Amino acid sequence: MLQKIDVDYNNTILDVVHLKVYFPVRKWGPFKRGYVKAVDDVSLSVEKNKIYGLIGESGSGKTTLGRAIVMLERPTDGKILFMRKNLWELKGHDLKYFRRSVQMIFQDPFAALNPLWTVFKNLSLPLFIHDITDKKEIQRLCIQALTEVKLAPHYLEKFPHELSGGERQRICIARALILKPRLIVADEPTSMIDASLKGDICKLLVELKEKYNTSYLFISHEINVAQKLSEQMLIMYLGKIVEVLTTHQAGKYLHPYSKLLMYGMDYSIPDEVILRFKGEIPSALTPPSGCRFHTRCIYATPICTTQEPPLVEVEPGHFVACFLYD
Amino acid sequence: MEAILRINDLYVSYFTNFGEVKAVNGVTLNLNPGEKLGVAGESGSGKSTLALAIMRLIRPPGRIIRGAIYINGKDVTKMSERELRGVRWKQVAMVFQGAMNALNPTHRVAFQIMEAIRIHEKINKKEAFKKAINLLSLVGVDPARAKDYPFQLSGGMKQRVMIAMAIALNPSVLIADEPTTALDVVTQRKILALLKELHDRLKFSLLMISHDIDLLLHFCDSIAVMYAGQIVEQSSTKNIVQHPMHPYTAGLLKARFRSNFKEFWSIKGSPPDLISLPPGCRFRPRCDMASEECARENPELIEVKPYHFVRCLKVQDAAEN
Amino acid sequence: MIRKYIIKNKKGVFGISVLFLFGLIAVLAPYLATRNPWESFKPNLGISKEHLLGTDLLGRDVFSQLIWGSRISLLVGVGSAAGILIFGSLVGLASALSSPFMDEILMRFTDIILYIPKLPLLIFLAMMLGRGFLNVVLVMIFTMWPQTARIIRSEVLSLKQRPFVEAVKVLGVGTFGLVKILIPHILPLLLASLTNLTIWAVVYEASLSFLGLGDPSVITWGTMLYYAHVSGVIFIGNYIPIVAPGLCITIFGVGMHYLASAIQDVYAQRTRLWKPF
Repeated sequence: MLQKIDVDYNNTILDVVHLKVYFPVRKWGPFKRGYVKAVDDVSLSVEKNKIYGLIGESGSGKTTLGRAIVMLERPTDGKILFMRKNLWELKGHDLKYFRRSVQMIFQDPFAALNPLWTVFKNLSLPLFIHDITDKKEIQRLCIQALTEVKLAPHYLEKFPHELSGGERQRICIARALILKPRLIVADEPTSMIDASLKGDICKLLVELKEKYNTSYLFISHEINVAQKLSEQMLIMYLGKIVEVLTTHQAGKYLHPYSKLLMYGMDYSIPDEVILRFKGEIPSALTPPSGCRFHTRCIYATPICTTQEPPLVEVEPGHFVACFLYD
Repeated sequence: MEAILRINDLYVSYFTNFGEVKAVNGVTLNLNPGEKLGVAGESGSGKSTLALAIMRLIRPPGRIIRGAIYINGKDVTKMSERELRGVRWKQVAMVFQGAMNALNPTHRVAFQIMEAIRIHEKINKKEAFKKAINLLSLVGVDPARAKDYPFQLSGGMKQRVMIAMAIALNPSVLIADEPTTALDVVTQRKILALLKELHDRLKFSLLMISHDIDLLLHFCDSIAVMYAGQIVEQSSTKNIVQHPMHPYTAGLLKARFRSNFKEFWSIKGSPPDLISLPPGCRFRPRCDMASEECARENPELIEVKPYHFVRCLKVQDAAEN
Repeated sequence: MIRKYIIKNKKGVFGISVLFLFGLIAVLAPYLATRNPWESFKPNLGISKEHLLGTDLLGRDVFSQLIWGSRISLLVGVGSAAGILIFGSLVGLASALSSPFMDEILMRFTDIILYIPKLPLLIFLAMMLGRGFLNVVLVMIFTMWPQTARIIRSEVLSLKQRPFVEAVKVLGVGTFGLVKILIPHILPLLLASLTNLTIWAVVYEASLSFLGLGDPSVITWGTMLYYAHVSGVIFIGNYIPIVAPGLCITIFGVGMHYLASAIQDVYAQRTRLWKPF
C-alpha cells in the first residue's frame, strides 16, 4: 500500500506517489493567495483485477484524485507512474496506450454523453481515436459492448435524451469498456441512479470485472454501496487518506471518521450517537492543523491538534491515520 | 378530526414539445393535523410536482388539470393569485429541493427572511428584523450571523435559514422536498433533528418528500409511496416496514444496501415514461406478480386493512378472500 | 441530421424560405428586373404596370433597383458576416483551447481592437483603402471580429468543463478532433451571431455609402436608402423609395433570425436535461 521498495510492475497498473493537487484561489488583493488543498500527499498503488472503493464526502478530494489519475487534473507535486513513467511525460504511442488502459465513468450519465450524437457515434468514438477503422469491426464491437451492458442492438440508433438514467449510465460503461481497459475510474456512478436500480449497475460492474479482469476505482460517498462492491476501501477526508482496509475487515472501521460515515448511512443508529460529532466539514482552503479531523472528533487529544497522524498498519492490509492507534 | 391538507383526485400534466407529461395522475391524499407524512418516490414518481401543485407553483407548460386541494378546508386550486397570497407561506410553506442554492447571493440573510415575512404580512422593518433574529435562533443559527451573506454560511446553515424562512409565518402545513440532499452525514441528521424539534414545538403538519425510503421510515409517522404519478401504497410507517403490500414498496425495501445484504438486487425494468404510460397498472412492466387482468385496468387505491391503502389487483383480490 | 428537424419547425421553414427567396432573386436578377436600374425614366412615378414600384426622384425604376440591389446587399451582408465569423471563431477557439498564457495574449490583442471606436475606425480604413465594395467588406471584418472572438471563446471555455468533453479527452481525442466535436455545439451561437452581423453589415454598408465612403457605382438596398433620404423624395409624398428597400432589409433580417432561432430550438431539444419529477 505505502511506497514499497520492490513494486511488482507486473501486477501494478498505476502508482500514485505523494500526490498533491492544489487549486490556487485568488483572494481580494492580487497578492493574497490561498490554495484549496484538494489532494494533500496521497500515495497508493492500483493493482490489476481489483475493485477499490474510494470513499469520502464532498470536499474530501476523492473526485480530484480520480481525475488526476486520468490526467484531467495536473499534479501540483508528486507523481503518478504508469509503466514506470510519469503520466505527464508520456508522449505519442505511450500516451495512446495509457488512454486505452485507463478510462473513466462520470457521475452524470446524461452530461457525459454527447447529446447531439447517437449512441453509436458516442460508442464508436474511442474506436476511431485508437485507429480501428474497419466499419464492420466497429459495428461488431459496438453491438458487443451493448450486449455486455445488457442493452439490445437497436439502442445504437437512439439519442441520449431518449433514454432513462440507468440506460445512459450503461452506455457510459459500455463506452469505457469498449477498449478493454485495465482500469476504470468510476466517479460516483450510482449517485444519480434511483435506489431501486443501483443494484443492477453494481452487479454489472462486478460481472464485467470478472469477465475482462478490469480494475475499478469506485469513487463514492455512499459507503454502504461501496462496501458491497469493493475489495479494498480507502477513506478520504479533506485531501488525505485516513483509513485503508480490505472488505473482509469491513464493519471493523477504526478511524472515527470512518465510523461516522458508517453510522450516518444507518438510520437505526440513534441521532445522539452521530450528533456527538460536532461541526461541519471545514473548508479545504484552511484545513485544521494536525489531524484534519480533530475539530470534529470526540476522541481528540492535544497531540491531534499539532501533529498529523501517519498512516500505520495496525493489522495486515489495514492502515489507519489516527493517534488512537499509533 | 378534519384533515388539514386534503388532496382529491389531483391530475397535473406538463404540455411539452415531446407530448403531454402526465406527472400526477389521480392522487388522493390526506394529511392530519400534527402528522408527519412521508412521500416516497423515485424519478418519474411525480412527488416534486405534487409538492409544487399544493403550493400552486405549477407554471406553464405545466397545469393542474383536475382535482382539488383543500388546505384548512378551502380549495386552493380555485383561488386567484390574490387569495393565494393569503395562503402561501401563511398556511402552507415549503423548503425546496437544493434550497441552499435558492438564497439570493446578493442580499444579507436576515434581509431575505424579512422579505419573506413582509411580502405576506404587513409589519414594519423593525418588527420584521426582530422576528428574523428570533427565527434564526429558533433554527439554531447564531443571531450574530444575521447580517452575513449566503456565501459566508456553510451548507447546513443555509438550509437552516431556508427552514427559518418557511416557518416564519407559522404555517399549518410544512412541505419539505428532499431537505437533506447535498449535506454531509452529520449535518443531515442535525437538520432532521431540527425539523423534529420544530415540529414538536410549533405543531405544524409535515409532508416530507424523499427518494430515500430509509430516511422516511426513520422520521415519519406514515408513508405514502408514489409511482408514475399515483399513490400505490399508504400506511403507517410500522405497517410499511413490517407488511409492505405493493410489489413496488416491497422492491424499494429490498433494494436497500443493508447489513443483511446478500447480493445485488434491483427492481427490473426502467422508471416509467410519463409521456407514454402503459395501459392498466402502471407498475405492471416491472412486476413479478403481474397477470393478464393487470393490463386491462389501472387498479383503484383501496383500504384493504385499517389505514392501509394499496393500489394492486392481486393484493385486493387476496384481501377479499 | 439537424436539417431534418429544422424542416419540422415552423420558424425554420420561414427562415429558410426567406433566405432561399432572396438568394434566388439575387441570382436571377437579370431575368427578374424589368428595367435597367440605372436608366432614368420619368421621375417620381407611383406604382404602375410599367414601373412596378414606381420611380425615385431621378427617375430610376425602384423595382429593378431592388432586384439588382439584392445582389450586392446579400454579398456584402453575408460575406462580411461570414468573414467576421470565421476569423473571430478561429481566434476564439485558439484562445480557449490553448495554454492560459497564449489565451491571455490573444485576448489582449482582441481587446485592443475592440476598444477602438467603430465608426471612426471604419471611416479611417475606408479612406485608406479607397472606394469599392470589397474594401467595405474588409473594413467591416477587421472592425467586428473581436466581438465574435470573445463570444466564441467564452462558449468554448464553458463547454470545456462539460463532462462529455472531459470524457472524450479521457478517451484520447486530440486538439483537432476536439474542435471537430465542439463545432456543432457552438453552431447555434454562430448562427445567432450570423443574423446580427448580417443585418449590421447591411446597415453599416449603407452608413458608409451615406458618408460617401461606399461605392457609388453600385446599387444596394443601403444606397437606395441613402439616395431616397438625400433626394428628399418623401417630402414630395413618395414613400416607396424608402419603404421598399427598408422592408427588404427587415424581412431578410427577420428570416435570418427565425432560422437561427429554429436551430437553437433543435439544439435545446437534444441537450434537454430531463429532470426527474
